[in-house]
Amino acid sequence: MKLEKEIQEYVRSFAGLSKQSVKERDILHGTTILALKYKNGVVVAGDCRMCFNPTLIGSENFKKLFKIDEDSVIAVAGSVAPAMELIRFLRAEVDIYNRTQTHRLSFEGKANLVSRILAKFAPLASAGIVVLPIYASRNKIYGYDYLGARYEVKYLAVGSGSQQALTYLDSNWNEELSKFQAVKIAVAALNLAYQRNPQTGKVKLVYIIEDEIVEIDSEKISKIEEGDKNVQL
Amino acid sequence: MFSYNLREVLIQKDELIREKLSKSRPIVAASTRDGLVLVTESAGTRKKIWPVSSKIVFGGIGEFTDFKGVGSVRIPGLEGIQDIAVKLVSTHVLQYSEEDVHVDSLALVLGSLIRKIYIDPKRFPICVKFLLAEVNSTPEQDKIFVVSPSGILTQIESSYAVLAGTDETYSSLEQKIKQHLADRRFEELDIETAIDILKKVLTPEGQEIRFEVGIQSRDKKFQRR
Repeated sequence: MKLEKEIQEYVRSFAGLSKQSVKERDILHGTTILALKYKNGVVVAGDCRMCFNPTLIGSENFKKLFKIDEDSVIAVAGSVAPAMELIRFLRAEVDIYNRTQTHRLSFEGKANLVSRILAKFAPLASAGIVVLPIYASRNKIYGYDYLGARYEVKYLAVGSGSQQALTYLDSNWNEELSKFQAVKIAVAALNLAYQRNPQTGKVKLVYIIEDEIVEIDSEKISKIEEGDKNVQL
Repeated sequence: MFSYNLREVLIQKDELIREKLSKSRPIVAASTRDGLVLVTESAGTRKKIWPVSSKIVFGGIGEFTDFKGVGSVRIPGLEGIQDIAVKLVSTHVLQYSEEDVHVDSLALVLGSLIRKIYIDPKRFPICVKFLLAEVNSTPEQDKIFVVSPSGILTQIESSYAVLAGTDETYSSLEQKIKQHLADRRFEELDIETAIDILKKVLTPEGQEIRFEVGIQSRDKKFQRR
């Protein structure tokens, strides 16, 4: 990693924090995110709520899906501050690599970078500050724990509403889904989480990763929710 | 005070390199249907061909690393460069992934290291010439890079590469390869036929020599004979 020192410095600025000194209600949390594979690609979706605790919402417009480069998307759940920093570091690392080396960084390489940055963030966990990302490219979805352990999955939901979303995915997901069906299932799973989990907000952003990354905005999403089958994805 | 004329230093270094390399035995590499093959005359226990990663092979001519020196006085040679190459690859795999190891960037880094020593007037030049070859899924995608003792790298366009100490040996070997290949191409040949051809090319008339052969197959396995 080129920015190892900078990452270490960032983590050091949290030194001395502990669960006693940090009040859970003062930290912003991002909540439910999910990713699922379909026939030709991957759909990544997330709600847009950011809250301090189950009874205090910070914002309804926090987008927790981020493009890292032309072919990969990361979604983050957990504490917002280190999550944003993870994305900034990852983008910078990938950018430096792509501009200085003869070949572009592979998805496997980028996924390893996420692991390594998460491992550096591990000391923050003693204060209850953790990041739980999902990293996806066209044909792979990786889930992580806060120490950086990586596992490949076909579909996954992370965050406080993940139980509801996963239950929905478990019963509705199959490998032969079309693009439209996949988006529909992702939206429905997050809506179920929205209905049952107070920390999960409405789904406002979906990314489809195929040959390129396509963004589905809230207007199209609400049309899909209403049952419109002619939405152009 | 240490003063020098850079031009003269480089001319002297070139002369030294030429003199050292002229004694070395040539090495030939070819990209065949089933993988890469490198053949050279055996130098006994010291090897000239090594695997660097699961798909990159290193082969070189010139001086071996001089282990007689002490500590930093030790003069780097073939083994030293291979050592650096392996360390570079391992570090890259550790930081990123195995997919991200490419022969182009490795050759670039090694070339610049050698160039740095070559243009430094206070340092003894590394008298080696080496090639780095990467095996991919088809012979057309295979890549061979040759790094000169002055650190200049060249990508070989044809399916075979010749490393020789002198220009005469180089051109005679190239001619011999063309004769033995006739209208065939290395890309269409299997490994055994290619090895046979390369052995014939390297054998001087009326003599018998022992060979060192390195094979890097397309399923990422390296084999030495």
